[in-house]
Amino acid sequence: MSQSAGHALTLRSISHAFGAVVAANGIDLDIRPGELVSLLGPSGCGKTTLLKIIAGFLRQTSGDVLVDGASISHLPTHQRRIGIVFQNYALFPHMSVAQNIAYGPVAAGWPKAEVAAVVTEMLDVVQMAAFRDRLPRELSGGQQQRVALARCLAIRPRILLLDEPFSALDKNLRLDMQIEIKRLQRQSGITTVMVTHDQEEALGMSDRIAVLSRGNLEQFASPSDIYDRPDSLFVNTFVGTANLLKGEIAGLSPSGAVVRLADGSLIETGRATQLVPGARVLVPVRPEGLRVSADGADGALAADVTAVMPIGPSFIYEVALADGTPVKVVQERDETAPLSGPVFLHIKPNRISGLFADLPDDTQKKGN
Amino acid sequence: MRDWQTLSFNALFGLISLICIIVLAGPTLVILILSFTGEEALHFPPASYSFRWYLALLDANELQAALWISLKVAAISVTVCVVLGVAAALAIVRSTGSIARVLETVFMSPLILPALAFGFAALMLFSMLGMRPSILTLAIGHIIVCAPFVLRTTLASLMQLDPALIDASRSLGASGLHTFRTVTLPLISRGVASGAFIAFMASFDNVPVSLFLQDARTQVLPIYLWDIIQNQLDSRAASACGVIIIATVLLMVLMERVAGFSRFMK
Amino acid sequence: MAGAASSPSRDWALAVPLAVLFALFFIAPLGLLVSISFQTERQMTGALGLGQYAAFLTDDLNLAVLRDTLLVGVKATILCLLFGYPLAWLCTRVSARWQAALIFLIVLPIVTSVVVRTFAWIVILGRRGILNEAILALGLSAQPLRLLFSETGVVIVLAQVQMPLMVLPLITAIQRIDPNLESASQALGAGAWRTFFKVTLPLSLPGIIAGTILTYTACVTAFVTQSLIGGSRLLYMPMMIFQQAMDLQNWPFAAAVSVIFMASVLLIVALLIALSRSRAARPYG
Repeated sequence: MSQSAGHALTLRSISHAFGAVVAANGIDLDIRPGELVSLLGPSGCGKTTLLKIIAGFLRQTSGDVLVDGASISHLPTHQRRIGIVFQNYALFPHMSVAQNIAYGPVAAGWPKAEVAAVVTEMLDVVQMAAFRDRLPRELSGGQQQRVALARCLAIRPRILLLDEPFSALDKNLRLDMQIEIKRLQRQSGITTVMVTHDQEEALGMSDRIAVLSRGNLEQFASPSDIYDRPDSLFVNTFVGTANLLKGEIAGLSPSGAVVRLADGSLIETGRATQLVPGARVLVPVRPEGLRVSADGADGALAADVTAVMPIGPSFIYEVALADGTPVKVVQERDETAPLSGPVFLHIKPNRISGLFADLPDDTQKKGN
Repeated sequence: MRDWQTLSFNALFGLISLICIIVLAGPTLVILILSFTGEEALHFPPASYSFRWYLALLDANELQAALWISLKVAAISVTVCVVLGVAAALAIVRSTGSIARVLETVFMSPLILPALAFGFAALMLFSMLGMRPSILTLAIGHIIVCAPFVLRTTLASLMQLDPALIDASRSLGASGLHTFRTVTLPLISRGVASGAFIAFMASFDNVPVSLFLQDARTQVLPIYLWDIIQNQLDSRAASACGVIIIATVLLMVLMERVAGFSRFMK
Repeated sequence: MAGAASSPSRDWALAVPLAVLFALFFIAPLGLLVSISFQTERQMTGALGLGQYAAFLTDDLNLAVLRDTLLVGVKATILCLLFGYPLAWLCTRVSARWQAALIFLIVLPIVTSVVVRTFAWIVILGRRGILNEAILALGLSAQPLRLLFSETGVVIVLAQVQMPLMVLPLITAIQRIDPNLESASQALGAGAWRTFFKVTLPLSLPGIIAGTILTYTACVTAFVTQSLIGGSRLLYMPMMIFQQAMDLQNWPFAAAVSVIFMASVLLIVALLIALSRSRAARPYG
């Protein structure tokens, strides 16, 4: 499968509008050869539109799609050599597994022997050799997905597209298939773009994630950057769980800012900001960046326990700050922490993931 | 009290249904039995049974000629209906625009408009164009009244077709034509076959349009039979109807097996 | 939408052949029909006017034919609905195997030639037909009844011949009703009849209207059945058009009668569709 490895995919200021609805607004993406990139966002964010534009099912209003630096925008779908695994797999119901896999090579007019060889090879790659004469409806969901993948790899695509590939699988199978696809993708080195609305899927499988919202690219970065250093409030709240503490800037230091929270306590955010003193801000803290305890050390916030959920090795707390703001905390099982009543909330060092301006409406802008 | 209600409801609905079933099937059965009569006159139940009227069909030259014309016209119109109807269905189903809806309405309207008025209108057009009644004029008229059947069943099966299958085929490198031959057509073939069958029967059975577009040389079977029934009630009419009934039932069983066509009638 | 965007222009081309055929041999003839109906002279001298329409609409005999035609359709359609509804209901209550058999039986008449089916009714309804012999044998009447060449006969036969067009949409509509609704109604203490009239019947209204449109238009335009069962004594619009056009060669008048007939049928269909739209807006009304 070495031929299919390593093609670069570039989206250059792609825009697309359905009537008045803007589904993509000047998206730029540079995807490196062999990379697995996820397009992540809520429904309606434009990720499926981008996938259709790359595949050629949809012609963008403006912008360009390039593979290895050469534009493919003018090519119809069937001349692009871009493989796609559909959400419902879209296996041809009237053809056997082998016929499905042979479909692309036959359409391209490969010699019979080569078609047979690639079918056998692909069946081995996805470990479905025993099922070659079955019809799709006789297969389980996971098996159908393997066949869909084999069918699309058989044409030696330059780029592999995955459209919500795991949404139709039940939870147990999902992890197995995620590992399987990740392994196949690593092995073949094929550049892959995956559309998903599932953040865990994106965080677990991707080399880089492009977070989209309402047709805009919010952030394009590695999973750890997306999680730990989100560029925008949207990314912060969409990926993972975020607590937002309200406050205002009390002062600036060379290393960051000091924020006065609603109850008057001061915390250091440790990150540089362009906001001026006095500005109203939101301080995002992940649940695992906090700790609940009975003792109130310096800088701890007073809070009241609302609920505790013991889930195996860890506890999930919901506590209310003095001004009523609810805050979620995840920490390891700790026998000394109280399960009700007044507690103290500690912010662990270097766990504040950003600082965002607190704007009155939902048009939150980048804070730094 | 609920038991009495349920009982009376089921009894009444069951009884009416039974009457309906008898009335729906009865007349066809009567003709089928009558076609085997051994008597001169058509009287039910027949006093004796024989194949004599079926054998008499072998010498009925005019009837055979009419049958031949009907089969030819039906074959031509169904072929044209299938080719043009499937193409039009593909275009209509893919488009969401208002022009497609208008076209669909126009293509379907022969089902609602009085066929006799259309037959008369077509006669006037053909006579203005200087076209004499012929197999051609008959076929054109039948194409118009039969096209809706093919279009309807084809559209129904195209709606069932997952558009991702077409996208999948294209992304695997297949051209539009290859996709149509290997994916679309096999998956809508039941709908197309059902529509073709219904269109064939509709053409074979058509009277109101044929009345205007035929002449003495191109008389179609249903009109020939109609003439006999109205004028002399020849017993050969019964055996001819018997042949039609048997052929229809056999074809219908076949189509049900091959294409599940009664699904498309709903 | 998927797959549509790549070549919308070429997709259109596929509808063109049939569209051209319909323009030439469906729209054009109907246009010609309308224009000829405005010819005031039978010889079609070119003088235009509403003379033919006036001739039809001022003659009580003609208006009676139009009224009889539209009414015979109403009667046959009502008969179809009254008898067809229970049959459709039964089809949704039996096992899949029985349902397939019943639907086969219901579809069979549509596919079988109308001439064949009408012929059967002549044998059944005739003076010495099956029905009259049964009536005489049972002593229900001393004289054979006039069933053939009577309006009653036409209504009965039309109802039988077009029944499938009513039953099939009804089956679809009744099947679409969530069975839990009927269970809920019964659990709330409503009996079978109340459940039927308050739940099943209103919710199957779309099917009733679809079936009514199909049945009604088929009944009023059923030339073969009307003329074979009605005979020469009963005149309906389709036969009138045929006589004027072919026997009397009065094309302008026949064209005007055709236009009036088509307009009446389309008006009734439009009313039924409007009714279904207004009901659809408040499905539980």
